[in-house]
Amino acid sequence: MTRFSQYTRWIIGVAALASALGLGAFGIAGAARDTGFDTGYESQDGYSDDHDSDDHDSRDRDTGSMKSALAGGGPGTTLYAEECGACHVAYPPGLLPSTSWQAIMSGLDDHFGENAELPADIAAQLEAHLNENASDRGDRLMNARLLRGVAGDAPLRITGLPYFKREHDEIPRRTVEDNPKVASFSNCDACHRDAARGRFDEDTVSVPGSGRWHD
Amino acid sequence: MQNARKQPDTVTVWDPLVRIFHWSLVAFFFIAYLTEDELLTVHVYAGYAVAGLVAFRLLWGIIGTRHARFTDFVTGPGAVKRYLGRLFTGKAPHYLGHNPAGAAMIIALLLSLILTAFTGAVLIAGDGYGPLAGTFFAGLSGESFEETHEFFANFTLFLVGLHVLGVVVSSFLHRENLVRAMVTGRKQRGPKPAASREAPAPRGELNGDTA
Amino acid sequence: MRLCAAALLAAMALTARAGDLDRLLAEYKGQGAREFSAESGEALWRKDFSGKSCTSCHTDSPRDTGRHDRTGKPIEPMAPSVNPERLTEMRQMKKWLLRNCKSTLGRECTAQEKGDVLTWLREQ
Repeated sequence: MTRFSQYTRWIIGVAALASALGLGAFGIAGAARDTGFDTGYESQDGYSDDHDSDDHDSRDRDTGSMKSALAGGGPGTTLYAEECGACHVAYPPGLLPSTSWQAIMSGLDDHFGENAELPADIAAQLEAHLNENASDRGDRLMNARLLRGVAGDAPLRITGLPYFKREHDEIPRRTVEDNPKVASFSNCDACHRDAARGRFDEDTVSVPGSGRWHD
Repeated sequence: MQNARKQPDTVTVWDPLVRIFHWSLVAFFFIAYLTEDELLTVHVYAGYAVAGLVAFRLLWGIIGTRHARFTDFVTGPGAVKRYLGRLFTGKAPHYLGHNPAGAAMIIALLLSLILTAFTGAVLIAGDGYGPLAGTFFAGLSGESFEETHEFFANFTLFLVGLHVLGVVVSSFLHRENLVRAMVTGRKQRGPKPAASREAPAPRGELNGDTA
Repeated sequence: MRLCAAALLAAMALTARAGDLDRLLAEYKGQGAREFSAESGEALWRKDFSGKSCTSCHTDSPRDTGRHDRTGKPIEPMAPSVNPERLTEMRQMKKWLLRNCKSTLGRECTAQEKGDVLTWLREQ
């Protein structure tokens, strides 16, 4: 090794290290530009919020104009939280593609068996909000992950996505279906306390009646 | 712990690439660790960076400067055990480069990171992305692989904790600030007189110069 | 003089709160409804429509917090005495009466039915 040219060795080393760093730095910068999550996290400080202290009121928290990767942002955020969040958790628009949201918005008179009709002007604003923040408008990789194995191009139920099932397949019945405080997987925020804000990591999970969940 | 007074007899042990590698790895590992599906692209690129950094380190472990090379610090398990035994009696010898326990940790960390990155690449291959997309690995992707990926990520974090603990213990024992050494690259040429009292070097590594 | 102005302002504030509801009831009258009856409203509240009723979500007492029968989401009490925000906004009242009648009764409610329920609810 002593015969190995000093010069060549450093060129190779610097090139290898710079490639690794460049890959990471440009990749992350590109993701920030594409999804626009960076501006939201910086200005709204939504990401660094301590989520442990406010478990119980997060259900009704106004999502304001915060932009998170899945919950999205923009002018329709508050309206979406108010209108759609009145009956169920305001499902983060980034969990379904825009084709799904269009199908849902055009069938509000039979919204999973309930009537959820809206005045046309409100519906239009909400549809714009959903389209802007749909999964196909955000993280390309996450969109692919969400739609993996989906039949058709407009799945209507988040809980029906193979991705969703894979993520929840270990959860025993007593935790969700047989737990009166949860009852259904569609009640994201029963366990994912920050669901309306698009946060689903395990740290934010607290199952009613049995506390934190770890797999 | 070490006196701020500039010691005349310090020597460069960690070359700039080793140091940049070390701290970039810390940064990208934690970026990846803290992001999951909610920032998947960020997570994946941080993972690519980690994999690239590990690849660089393997290469640099062969062609790098003296103390960066595996031949400089990799020992058998026997040497690691002996070193750890002496550590408990406070008689561990001082090494200018990595001590045997530190060397074992480097190998463990690199292996654990490789497995984390590989299982991660399998997972995104299942989504049709990444270097393994379209290969037979894509078919392996699933919930069990996701758990394997998480296991190795957590195992790496556990190793990081042990590594930091080892650095703290070693720093106190030999009265040298190893964290600063990984920033400045410089270390005291000889063992400090106090803590480790002249346990003879088991091998010829003591007081070696950089290449 | 100043006192008068203050009293007038207070009165205006009060009528503004009740304004939307009164206008809505007048609108229903314009659609052919007769005098509204709180009693009929209460009866409608409790009436069973093939397994569903207002009480399925809102509970028997409009003063209690309800619970969406499908999603389990809490529903704030309907009674203005407990929840003064109720029955104050035209758009909200119209939207929910439309949706909930269709969901529960399987049809739109008549002007009479809506007026009766609102008349009963405002007293709660």
